[in-house]
Amino acid sequence: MSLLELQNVTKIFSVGGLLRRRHILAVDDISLSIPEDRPVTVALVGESGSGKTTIGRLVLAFLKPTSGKILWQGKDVWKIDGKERQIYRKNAQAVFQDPYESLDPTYATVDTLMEPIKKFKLASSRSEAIKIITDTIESLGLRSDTLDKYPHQLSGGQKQRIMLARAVLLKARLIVADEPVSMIDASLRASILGLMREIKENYGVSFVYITHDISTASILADQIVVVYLGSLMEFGDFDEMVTKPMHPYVKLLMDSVPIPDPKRRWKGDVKIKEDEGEVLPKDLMKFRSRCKFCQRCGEAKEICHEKQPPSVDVGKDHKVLCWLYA
Amino acid sequence: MKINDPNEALLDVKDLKVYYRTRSEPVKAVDGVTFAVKPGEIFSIVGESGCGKSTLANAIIRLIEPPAYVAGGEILLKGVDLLKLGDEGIRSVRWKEISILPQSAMNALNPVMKIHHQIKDAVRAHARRMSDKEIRKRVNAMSKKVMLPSYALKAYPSQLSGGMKQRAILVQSFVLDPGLVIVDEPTSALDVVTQRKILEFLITKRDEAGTSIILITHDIAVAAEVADRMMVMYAGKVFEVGDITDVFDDPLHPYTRALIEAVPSLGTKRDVRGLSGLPPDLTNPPSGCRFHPRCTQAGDSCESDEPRLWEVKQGHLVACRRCEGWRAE
Repeated sequence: MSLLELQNVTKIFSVGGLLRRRHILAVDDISLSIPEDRPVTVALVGESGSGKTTIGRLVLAFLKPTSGKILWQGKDVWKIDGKERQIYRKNAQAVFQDPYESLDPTYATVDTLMEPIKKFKLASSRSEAIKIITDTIESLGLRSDTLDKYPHQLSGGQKQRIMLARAVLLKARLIVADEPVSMIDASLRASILGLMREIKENYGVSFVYITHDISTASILADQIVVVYLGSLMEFGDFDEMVTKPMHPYVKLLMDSVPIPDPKRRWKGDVKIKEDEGEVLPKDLMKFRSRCKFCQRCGEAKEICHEKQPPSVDVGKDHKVLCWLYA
Repeated sequence: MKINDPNEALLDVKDLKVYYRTRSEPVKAVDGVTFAVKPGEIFSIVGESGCGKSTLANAIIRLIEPPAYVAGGEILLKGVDLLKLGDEGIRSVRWKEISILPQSAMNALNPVMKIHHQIKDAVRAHARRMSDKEIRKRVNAMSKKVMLPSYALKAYPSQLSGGMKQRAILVQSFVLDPGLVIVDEPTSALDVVTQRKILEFLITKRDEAGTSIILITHDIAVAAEVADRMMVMYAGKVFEVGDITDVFDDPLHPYTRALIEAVPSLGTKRDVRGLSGLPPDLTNPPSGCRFHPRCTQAGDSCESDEPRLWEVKQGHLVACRRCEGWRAE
């Protein structure tokens, strides 16, 4: 059984008023699973507007899918209630992009961390709770005097550590981290990402790491999912996909990541057709019957413009949504 | 290749100080910065948020507003001090000789004006005698180069993606063919494919038109991909300047070394290390070397004496007392 499974999940947002109602396709028929027997970190990569944040919110059940199912340990998260739902809420935690907005400015760190302990009755007394909190934050590289500080006294990196500590306190099984380091300085990023890797290994927590920056994923990701305009283009082992990507879009993506070494610069030109116009999210509904990348793809065949590509298994735990491999 | 040789430099910045007025001590965002940009090179200024790189960029083109002010120094463009020009004088230089693509420029587009009208307006303001036909010709030619399709020129900003908007702004900054263009974080909000396209455009401009480009970025990997030389800034100070390969092969400053080590690289599973501590508060910066509280190599003198930039080898300068051969003069 999987810890988490997305079965053909689609999310369509309806926007606008009665007369000018429009439908925006954010997530299109995505299936994905995270195993239960071992912790894994899945990097969810895509450009802005690709639907990666929406997927994260669907996983956390902040949003209800338009169609398809999200299963937690085999049970549909929208069909469970009461105690089971509460357990799911405790087990699946979130860390967001903007640490400046995710903490209550009137709460000292100790209050922020006490909240979940009270809610889920994780300690029998206040002193026991304080001990649990202190042990946790110290193991995550924060000093115990952080407990008395308010958010404005903390740096972005410290705030993200507190959000991670909150998830660890709850003994979460899965953390959805949406661009957790994009607002943090380069010199401090590495330590937050390293901490996430440690949490995975030491506490057995799986991660969905949502990012547009593939190089940061290399620090912690085991698997990678590349989404483009709402569709899952390729899914597989991180190292394998970085060295041998199969989907033309993923090839282009991997090829465009800047490498911090002036001796290994980009060679040649990027082969990409853009004159034909780009697909805006509001027009996506019309593009469901073909490959979403076909207009920009250098390897597109006739069929790519006519029919939606199938999801092809190209190896163990390796899927590609492309006609080239069908 | 001496960086302070004015005969060779297109832009020569000398001991520039840009402060922000506060109720007490001024914030020294740019504090005695000296560097030169040669014709036809991509010069990258790298640093973390708050190091003063954007303030520096805006000061060069005289776009800073109170509470920021220039507290001293010179900015020589082809030998003319931009700081001494009047409003009319600086207007005649902007866009034609030097232009800037400011940070998050794509949010600066007027939402109720079509792209081509905005570009025309901007051009018109700086090249009054240019005919409509000539402007259109230039805009179309430049749009082709940045792969901005013609439908995008006729669109409103809200109808375009971030990448398209960024390209529209690129057209605007390059359309009058200035000799020097400052690009401030041109790609930070873009996906890697669009980022690569835009960076490749900068390379083309350098190679074909001989344009000098100051590329300001927090991403050392971006600098590594396209820059000829690079300058590392920290807390308003220049820490290191040199050829890009020299700096990466042999980073002299402990901060530069830490920055390079902190960046993950795809495909090479190396262990990245973060830097401990936090960037300093610029109203009350640390004494001596501003990096010393976070520096693993710091000695006693680093706390008391401020290091000056010195040339370790041809064209490679560093401001660090711990580097081999340092002589306190």
